Amino acid sequence: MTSSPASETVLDVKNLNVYIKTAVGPLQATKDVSFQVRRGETLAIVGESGCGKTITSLALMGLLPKAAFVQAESCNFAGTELQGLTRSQLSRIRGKSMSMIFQDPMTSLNPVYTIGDQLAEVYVKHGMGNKRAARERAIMLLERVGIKNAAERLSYYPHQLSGGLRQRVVIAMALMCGPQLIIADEPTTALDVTVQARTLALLGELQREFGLALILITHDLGIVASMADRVAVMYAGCVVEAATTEELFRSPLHPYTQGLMRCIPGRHKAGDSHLHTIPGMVPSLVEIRPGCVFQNRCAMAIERCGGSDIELRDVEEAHSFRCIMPQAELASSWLHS
Amino acid sequence: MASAPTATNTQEMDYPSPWQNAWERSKTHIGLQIGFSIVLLAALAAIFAPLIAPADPYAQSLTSRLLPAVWQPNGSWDHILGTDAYGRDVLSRLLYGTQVTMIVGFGAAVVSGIVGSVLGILGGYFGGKVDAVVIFLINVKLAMPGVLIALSLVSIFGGSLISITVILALLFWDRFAVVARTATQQVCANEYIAAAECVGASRTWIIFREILPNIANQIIIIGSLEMAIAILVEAALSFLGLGIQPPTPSWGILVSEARAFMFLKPHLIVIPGMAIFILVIGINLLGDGIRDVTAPQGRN
Amino acid sequence: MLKYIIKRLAIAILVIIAVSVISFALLRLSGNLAQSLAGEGATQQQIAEIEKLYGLDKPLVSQYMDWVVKVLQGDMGRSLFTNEPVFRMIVDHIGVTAIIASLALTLAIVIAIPLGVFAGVYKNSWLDRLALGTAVFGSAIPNFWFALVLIYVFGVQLRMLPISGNATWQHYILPAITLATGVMPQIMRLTRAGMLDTLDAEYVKMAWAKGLNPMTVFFKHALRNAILPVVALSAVSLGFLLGGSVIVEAVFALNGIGSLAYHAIKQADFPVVQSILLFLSCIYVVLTFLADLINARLDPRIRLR
Repeated sequence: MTSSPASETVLDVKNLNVYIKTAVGPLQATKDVSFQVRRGETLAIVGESGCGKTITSLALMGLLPKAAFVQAESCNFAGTELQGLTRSQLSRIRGKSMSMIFQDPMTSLNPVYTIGDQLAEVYVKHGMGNKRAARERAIMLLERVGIKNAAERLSYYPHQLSGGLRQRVVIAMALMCGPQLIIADEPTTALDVTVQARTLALLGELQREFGLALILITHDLGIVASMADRVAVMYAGCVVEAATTEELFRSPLHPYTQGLMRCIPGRHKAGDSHLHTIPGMVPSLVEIRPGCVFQNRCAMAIERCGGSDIELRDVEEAHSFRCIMPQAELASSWLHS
Repeated sequence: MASAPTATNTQEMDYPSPWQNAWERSKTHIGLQIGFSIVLLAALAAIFAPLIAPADPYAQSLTSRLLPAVWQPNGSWDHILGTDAYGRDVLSRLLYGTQVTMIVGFGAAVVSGIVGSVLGILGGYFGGKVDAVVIFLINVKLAMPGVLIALSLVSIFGGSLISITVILALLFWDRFAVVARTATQQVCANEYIAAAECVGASRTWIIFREILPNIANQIIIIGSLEMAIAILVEAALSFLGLGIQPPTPSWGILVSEARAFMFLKPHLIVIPGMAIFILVIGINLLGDGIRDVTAPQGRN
Repeated sequence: MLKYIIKRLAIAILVIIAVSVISFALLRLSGNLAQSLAGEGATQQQIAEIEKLYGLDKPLVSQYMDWVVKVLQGDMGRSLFTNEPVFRMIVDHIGVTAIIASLALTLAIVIAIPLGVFAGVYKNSWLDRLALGTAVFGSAIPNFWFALVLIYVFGVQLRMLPISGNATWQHYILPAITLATGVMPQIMRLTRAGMLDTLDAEYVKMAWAKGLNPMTVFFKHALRNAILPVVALSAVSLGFLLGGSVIVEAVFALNGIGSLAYHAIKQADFPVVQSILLFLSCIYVVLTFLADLINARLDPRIRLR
């Protein structure tokens, strides 16, 4: 995983643990999450809701609620260690070199300010230029994300735009200061299906054009297949498998990943109209037992799964997974399913 | 076999009813306990005033005017809080004043609560024109200068306990109506109302069996707040001389009568004022406490 | 937007009509006016003359219509006791009340909004508890009594401020503080509740993600949205203060509209009372209408409907 020059690595997260303080003591929301994103690369973080993918992204942005705290081995962003930064130091990075696209464009724009104000605000705040320069860049970016009459639209309020357009505004806002990394948290989930594909295509184009590192958080394997270079599959706060997209779709190893793949309708042999599901539910944070996090839903679980915590195993270059079963057995289980 | 609890039974027992929940939470809610104690104390003082008051609250005595309280120089245990300008025992007047305060406050809250809730439920349940009328009535009520209307009504109908209670009720029904209306609309949006209508339940049945129990909690909370405000307004009206009429010992009148001596005998003003203040805080704490412990889990 | 304004205006007019009917009816309930005007030992003939003079012999509906027509022409009638034009009396007295009411509201807002913002931001902190404690104190203290306490402490013990009349600007300080204490808690609580809602909103998360300063996030992004209901409440409060200052005026011997109304009520001077009731209602309606316009200004979702 470290074959490429370190200078290209934009974000390097090692063993990120997020805890949430509760009345009964801290609960662990993510456990030893590690990943890297390089310049010009898309990393997809996949998992069901509640698996810790959004918490991971909020932790990176320093946006976790007060009740949460973070412990990580390292969290290096473009040469800066994010851990231990003060709030004002962090706010110089946020929105400038690292920006975020939220899930619901209907609520992530402030309803009482024009989109022009909201676009310019981040530019002026980070000292990129004065209001006029901000306005010019806003017009340029709005046009780039495919909004016509951009100059006129600057004086629009969010409620005057459709959901798809609003998400384009949010994307333009993320680009205002020329970031190195964009974290997109389910950027199309709240949109109409017809708009989703176009918005994703746009995001992909922009990523290549601006040479961005993109972290795409999603539950949709279809989006992963079309967008991502590499994938990290998360389950109950753990990365259970990580690989290049191609490798992961060709030979998923972790039983959970395999389960997710089987859930894609029409993926398997013709005539198999059976709709697959993974039995059971994601355990809540209080229910997590020692050992493998997936053991209670895993068809292949054996007694040893409940023992000590499972280490991440590398199988090939850039493919690792967290399971005690021999690789051959897992691979054959996938082939014969 | 019959006596052995099945698995499902024990499951159900793990989830206490909302009332058990509220009871459990109220055990640790200090504000609620303080509020409840204050209100309980005031209610007991009101009920047992004739038994515990050391003297007749109306008995004047020219020879014992403006006697000091027991902690002041020359004070005596005969008049623990001293006497007023007519030689009446202040403690006794304070205790009897609790009766006036509690009756007017509670009465006004109940009457306005009934009027306001009925209007609010009708508006919220039937919607359309009924709702428009209710909203209009609320608007008209809000546009009227309440204190002046109350003063005018008292000057017309007199300052008896009943007329004051009814007049104050006229002043406070609107908030009940607003809350009951919104709450009813929320309840009606739930599917069980549609379900009840589908199985042919009558409107009266739906209002009394489905809506009322679901909004009662919010109405009780508003009731406590309005009772507190009614107590404050009654005291203010009585203080101005257009409320409860002397010599009836309303706390507002106690302050008003002592005003002429406030520089000589400040305690005559401080005591009834503090009584109002503490009781109103108590009622507010009780209302806030009820809201906290009956709110759904996790809400504040 | 125009449609919205017209609808609000129509409702406002209906409300004023209803209020005028009620305040007219209210004073007619107060027994035989002619009798009380004529005095204790008046003969039947004297009473009839007075009835005729004031138009009290006509049917109630036409009395009401007469009154409405006159009011629309700017003639609110004359006081039954001083024979002064009521309009003149209201104009003479409203100034004092307007000053203490607006001072009180300004004071309340200046304290309540920052307090509410930070109480919401630092929920459950000592500041939040202090704010809520202040609110409990302010809403539970009887204002006539608080006025007396202020007089005792600042006027008599410390001799810092004058305690009655309206000769200098210092005379307005204690009445304004008394009134502000009553309205401050509601504004504080509403601001705090609004902040708690907006601080959880996605657009505030977005504002943090943009790297904005905390003060920009709190005041520009969160408060601007939280303040909409506070504007409406402030208008209602000002209307309430104008009509509710009677108690404070009585304690501080201020000759405002409240004390004018109070004395008129005591004397059953019905032209004065009903005109004041109508006047204050109109002011209330105008204020709430203004609040709607301000809200439309603040919230494009209303403005651009």
